[in-house]
Amino acid sequence: MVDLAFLHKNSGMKVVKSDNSTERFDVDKIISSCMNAGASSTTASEVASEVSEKVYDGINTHEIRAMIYTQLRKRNLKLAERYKYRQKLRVRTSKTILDHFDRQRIVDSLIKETKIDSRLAETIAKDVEKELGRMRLDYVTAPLIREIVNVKLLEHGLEGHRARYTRLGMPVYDVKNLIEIPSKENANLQYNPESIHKLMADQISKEYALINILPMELADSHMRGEIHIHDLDYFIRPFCFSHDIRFFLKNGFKADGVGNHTAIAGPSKRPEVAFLHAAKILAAAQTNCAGGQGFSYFNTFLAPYISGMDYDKVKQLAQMFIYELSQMYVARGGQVVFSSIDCDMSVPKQFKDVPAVLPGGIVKDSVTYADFEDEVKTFFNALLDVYLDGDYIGKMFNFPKFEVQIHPKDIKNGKNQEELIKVSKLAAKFGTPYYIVNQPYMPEFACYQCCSFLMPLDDAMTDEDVINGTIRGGGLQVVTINLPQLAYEADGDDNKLFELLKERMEKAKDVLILKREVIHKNLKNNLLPFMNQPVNEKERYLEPDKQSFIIGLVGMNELVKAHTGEELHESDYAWEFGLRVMKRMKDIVAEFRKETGLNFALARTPAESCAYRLAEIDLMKYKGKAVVNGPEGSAYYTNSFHVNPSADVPLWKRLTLEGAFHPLTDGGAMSHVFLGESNPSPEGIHELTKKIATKTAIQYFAFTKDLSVCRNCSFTTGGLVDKCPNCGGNEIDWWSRITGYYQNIGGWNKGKLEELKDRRRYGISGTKKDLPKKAKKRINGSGVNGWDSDLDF
Amino acid sequence: MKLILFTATKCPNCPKFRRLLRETAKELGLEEGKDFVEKLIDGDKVTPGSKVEIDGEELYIVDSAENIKEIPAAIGGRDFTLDALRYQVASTPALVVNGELAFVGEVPSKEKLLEKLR
Repeated sequence: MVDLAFLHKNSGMKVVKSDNSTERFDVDKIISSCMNAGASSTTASEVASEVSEKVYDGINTHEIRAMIYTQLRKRNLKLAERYKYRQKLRVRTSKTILDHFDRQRIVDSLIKETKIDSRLAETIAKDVEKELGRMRLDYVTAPLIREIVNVKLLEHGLEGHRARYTRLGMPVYDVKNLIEIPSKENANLQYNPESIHKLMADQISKEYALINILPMELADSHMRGEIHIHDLDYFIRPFCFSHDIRFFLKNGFKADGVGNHTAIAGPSKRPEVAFLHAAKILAAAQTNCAGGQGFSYFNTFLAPYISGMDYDKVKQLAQMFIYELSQMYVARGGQVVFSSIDCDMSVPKQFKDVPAVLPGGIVKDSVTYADFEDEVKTFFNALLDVYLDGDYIGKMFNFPKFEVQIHPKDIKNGKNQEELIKVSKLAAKFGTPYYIVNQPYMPEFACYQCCSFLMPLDDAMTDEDVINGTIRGGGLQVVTINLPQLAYEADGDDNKLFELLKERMEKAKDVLILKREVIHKNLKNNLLPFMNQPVNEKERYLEPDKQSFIIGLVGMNELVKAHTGEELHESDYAWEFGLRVMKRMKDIVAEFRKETGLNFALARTPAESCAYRLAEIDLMKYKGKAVVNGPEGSAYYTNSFHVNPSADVPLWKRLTLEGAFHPLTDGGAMSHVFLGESNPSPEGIHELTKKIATKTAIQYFAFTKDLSVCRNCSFTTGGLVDKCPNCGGNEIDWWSRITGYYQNIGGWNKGKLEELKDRRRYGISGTKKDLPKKAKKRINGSGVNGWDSDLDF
Repeated sequence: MKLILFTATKCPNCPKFRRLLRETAKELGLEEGKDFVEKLIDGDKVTPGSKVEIDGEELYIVDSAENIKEIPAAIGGRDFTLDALRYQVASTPALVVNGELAFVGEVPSKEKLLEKLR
């Protein structure tokens, strides 16, 4: 029989802890620590009684533990040893201190983080403690304990709770590799400390999105390759945005959106300042957004600022702006801003009567944009000249992307012909320009940006926005449908194929609706301060409900092949079947719009990583059934509704086959002319441009010229060459357009490189060209491992 | 010469193009139904063999060009959207001449039209 009177004895005494803080002596602690080591309650009480006899005021915990050990040893050696081990066991916590193991902490955190009841938490914590006891470790880390808790949660069948309780991050090995193994130079992400931080953070935020934001059904759909949720590492940000510079010209510029962390600038009075603001606006917005940032009607809205200036001065300003955007190496972990500018050859008719924003942010009803026709032209030419010159050593500027608005009517009437010829020269030299063809079926306000997404701004704005300078909008998120998978599942049954299509698109819709909630919440918490700026009493700069909710597609060609036996270019039937699928998609998207009141849009996805990822997944999953291009390991699907890049068809046929699909998208489409000549004729490009604009339904296209840049002398030449024609050096970087922008191919994934090899290249006169064998050999087997590229558009 | 005029029921400029084409075709000796047909891209709700009034004009709807008995006539009864797209047509009115897109989303002047038809 133990005398329980000791329980109250010495209760007023102070004990000094190892960190020199003090606490009241508590005999219960002795009892529970003995019992935790396996002592019976009787033994524990006996030990506690003995020890409490000897404590004195100011005793330290170390001495108390020694006394307990001695007492236990007298009774049971094994018990004493177990007690000692447990007391020795230290936990390295996230507060970077060493702490004693305390089971209660597990209980508390389980209740707090997973909401399980306290009894279950207690049971699991005890299991964990036993497990730790078995391992006989000198110390444990908090993450290790957490892992063990996770195992115990799984043993109790609590999978969902495990997902909430787990840690996110990377294996030490991966972090070490990121830091210590210089990655091959990659056009977007250089090997530098910023990019390493970004890649580490990407991993966590991507896992977080998959595990904690998306419900398991949608995350699994992504994992199974039914749909591809783009930019999961940036799921908490909106995607791309097209800006109206007039808003900032009128109101000034706060880089952080509020002015707490950065200086506040008023409306620019001088042209230099206006141009610098323009560059900084895109950089600031990039800190809040995942995708591309662009200006619509860029040279029209800045035209009043160059009024009265001579051409050299204007060119100087254009040069400064382009250098800013191709040199500010600041965004998203040390990259340049993913920027674009939409430019006009003359004042667009929608703005002719709109009062212009003048230097100082002043607006006078008597001065409209129609008064700046000459300035718009001058500025357009100046930008073109800067792009034509290239940088200091003559290398092309790949950012900001240069998007040129062209109008079939003007082309028919011969308007702006000189400008179009000059644009053709630029296309022939560097492949730089992107052509936005204002087809009659297109919305009046059409801006192309990022990786070529069309922003149908008509839906996002009002007449007031046109007048007030707040024409703005973007895509909130992109989800791509893996089309070929539908055909593998449907087994030739049309109805089943269309049913499945609807089902997958519903999943994409659910993701997009979820994204809307995420962005609403983030704006409410002011997580996106730049995009959260008020525009007027009612509206913020980013209005989530006015953005595009983009559903994309990949592998139409392979769907058609798997379903009908022929590729898009192989028969009229196959082509028409493709168009039917596309039309159905467009109709479903229209239903979504009606049902939700939100601006759902069907778009061709650039698919830089998903064309590769989805093909590889399907090869594993569907084995012989899968229709992919390229060998396993570097397989890829054809982008969107494109004709197979390797198809042996004349250029014009390729363009018209694709052209028929363009009007069926409402969020953007793109066709490519891959050039095979190293020096294509500008006249030929000009003629082809006119033909495409007036004789096809194509709304957006570019001429892509492969480029070689010598590492030794930086000489740039057309085609993929092995030897520098200037200095004879053989260290050459190759550049090409991955889909929506130019990139060093060193950063491409294996699938995209296979496509680069396969691309059917054309001479401007219509002749077909293959890539030289030597170049194909060099590309073979290269390419970034894994399909998670840093840009996942 | 084969001409296809793509029109739609609620298209403000279509009647104008229709009239212009008929007038010009007549002058050139082209026969409707044989040398040129009109396809209603949203005419899937009209029954072939019926007469309908579209934009103030009476059209005799047939299911194929061979069945045109009365003038003016148009082909309807099915969704021609994809058919139009295959000729790169995404807005109306549009004229396709020998398989190539000649005009889209606009009504040309008579001179411009004649240029294409000669």
